[in-house]
Amino acid sequence: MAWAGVLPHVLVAAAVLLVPVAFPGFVYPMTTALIYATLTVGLNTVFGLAGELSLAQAAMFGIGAYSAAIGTANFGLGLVTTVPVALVLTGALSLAVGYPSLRLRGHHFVIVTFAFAELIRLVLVNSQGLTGGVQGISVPRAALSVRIGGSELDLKSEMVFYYLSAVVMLAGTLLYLCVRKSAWGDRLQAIRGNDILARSLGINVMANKLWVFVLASQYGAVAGWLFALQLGHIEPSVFDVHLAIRVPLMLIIGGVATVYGPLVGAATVVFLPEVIRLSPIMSQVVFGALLVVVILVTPRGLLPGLRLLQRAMQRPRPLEGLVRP
Amino acid sequence: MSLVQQLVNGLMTGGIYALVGLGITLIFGLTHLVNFAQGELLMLGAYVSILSLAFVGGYWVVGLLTSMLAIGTLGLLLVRLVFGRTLSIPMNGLIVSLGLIIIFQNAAFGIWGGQPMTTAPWVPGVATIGGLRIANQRLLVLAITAGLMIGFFLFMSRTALGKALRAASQDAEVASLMGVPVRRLVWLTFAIGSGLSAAAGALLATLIPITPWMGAPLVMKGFAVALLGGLGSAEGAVAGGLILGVAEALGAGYISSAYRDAFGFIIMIAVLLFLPEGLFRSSHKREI
Repeated sequence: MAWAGVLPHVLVAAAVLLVPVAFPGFVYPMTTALIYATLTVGLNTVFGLAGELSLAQAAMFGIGAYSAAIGTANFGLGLVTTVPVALVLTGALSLAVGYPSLRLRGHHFVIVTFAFAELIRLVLVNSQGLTGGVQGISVPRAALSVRIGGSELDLKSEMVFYYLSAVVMLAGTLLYLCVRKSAWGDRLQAIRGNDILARSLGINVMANKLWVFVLASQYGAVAGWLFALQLGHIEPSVFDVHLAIRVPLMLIIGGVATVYGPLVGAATVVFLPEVIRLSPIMSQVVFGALLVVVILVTPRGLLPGLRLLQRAMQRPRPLEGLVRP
Repeated sequence: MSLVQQLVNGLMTGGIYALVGLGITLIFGLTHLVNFAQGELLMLGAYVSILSLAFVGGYWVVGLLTSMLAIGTLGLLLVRLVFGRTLSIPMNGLIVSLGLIIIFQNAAFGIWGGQPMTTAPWVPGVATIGGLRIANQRLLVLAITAGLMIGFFLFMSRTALGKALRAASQDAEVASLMGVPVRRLVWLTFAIGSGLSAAAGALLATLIPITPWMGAPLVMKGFAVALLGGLGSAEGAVAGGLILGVAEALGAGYISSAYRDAFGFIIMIAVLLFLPEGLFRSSHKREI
């Protein structure tokens, strides 16, 4: 039955959409988690599907955020107009960064994306006139009322903004699912398994990897755009190496190449410090340690790890190895 | 600042970059591990050096050696406790090193705070050489980095241990068949690489204020240097370091000082576009 496979997704979507009703006090942090989850789904496309670890998501996030802020504050653009600006900027940069580095072995790519993240932060800090430098820049309150068609959308409202972020995150997850099931997704996973074999089968490894990197950058741009609106004021220090590392951290804690791993990871990062009552510094240390431990114990993340545990606990049945679940 | 002064400065910072790049390339050459936390080892080396001088006092050699020994030991602990388990899947080691960055930076922030820390130069005063005024400390840094690198190369080429290391780095399997204790050499490599980064940190601390977050841009430059020289090539790292140092000094002097850190990135991209194996192609078989 085709719809049985859809059920878990419908349940998750419903849960996400019902949060403001069930837990109204958590709307703001949950919005943050949704934004981070969107950012992490982007990483899931390039790392989960294609096997290329990118540390550039944070930089794309920053560019998306600054596009929203600079576009509205400095250039008087409408909020909606800043979206394509963010998408084009991040897309172009991902092409420029991806082209020299994706041709080579995986670790070259990671190193370059790491350096790229540093570079973006440097540019943000030094372009005083455009970005406000270290002080940062604010999104004008007036811009937060958006006219779409005949009606007005008030993004200053927490609830409205929550639903916008929820829709974006769910749409992003849906897109990830579609890519994963498509021919492109098949090619990417073939590349992840063995890129030389994939090339021998006629797959253009470079082009496929490059375009999924561009796709990931689009997620970063949109998530960053939302982030700027939620925070109101953004500074370069937010988009630093810690954020760059936090994205793979969220994905790995949640589960690489799973559909809801990004959401689980993002929610963990946002809510765990509250639940365990840690100071900001200690919670960072805990996350770093968690990343180390998770990789050492279950290299593919917690969700798949739990599944392995579950399988290990079941009694072996005949034909177990022959019929894949 | 005259051209010659720029060049001297460039060689000096280049020497420091070379130390970082050496650590990175050594570790990569033997284990294929990309250790992003190398910058944090540098940072911790800087703090240990300053603090050991504050507590113990005395000659700067004490601070430098304490720092190298302490962080070298830390590197040893890291490889035995953590990285040792990821050797079969280097990508996991890379991710682990990211976790370590978070741990070390925040631990340092928690212990020492975010205020930049400075220390007095180990040798005060300014020398006048042929009409140029150069701070004595800078000359000392130049001398120490040169000394460390020369010592390192002598170790690699003249001692049995060094030869074993080179053999293992070329082909670990065959080397172990020849009786080379590869596992122990991996430990030694980590210890040496960490010690060199710590020295770089200790030296850097005499030139600029240090913060818990100084590691990231420096490790990026370390990688630019290692890539420029060819991952796995020690001579390459030295050459790469000097080239980057001079390029930065000239670039900052004549083009833009705000974007000084960008030159490393530009060099990295240029290397990947035009010379992906690096200047000194490393003697690695490409794995299929």
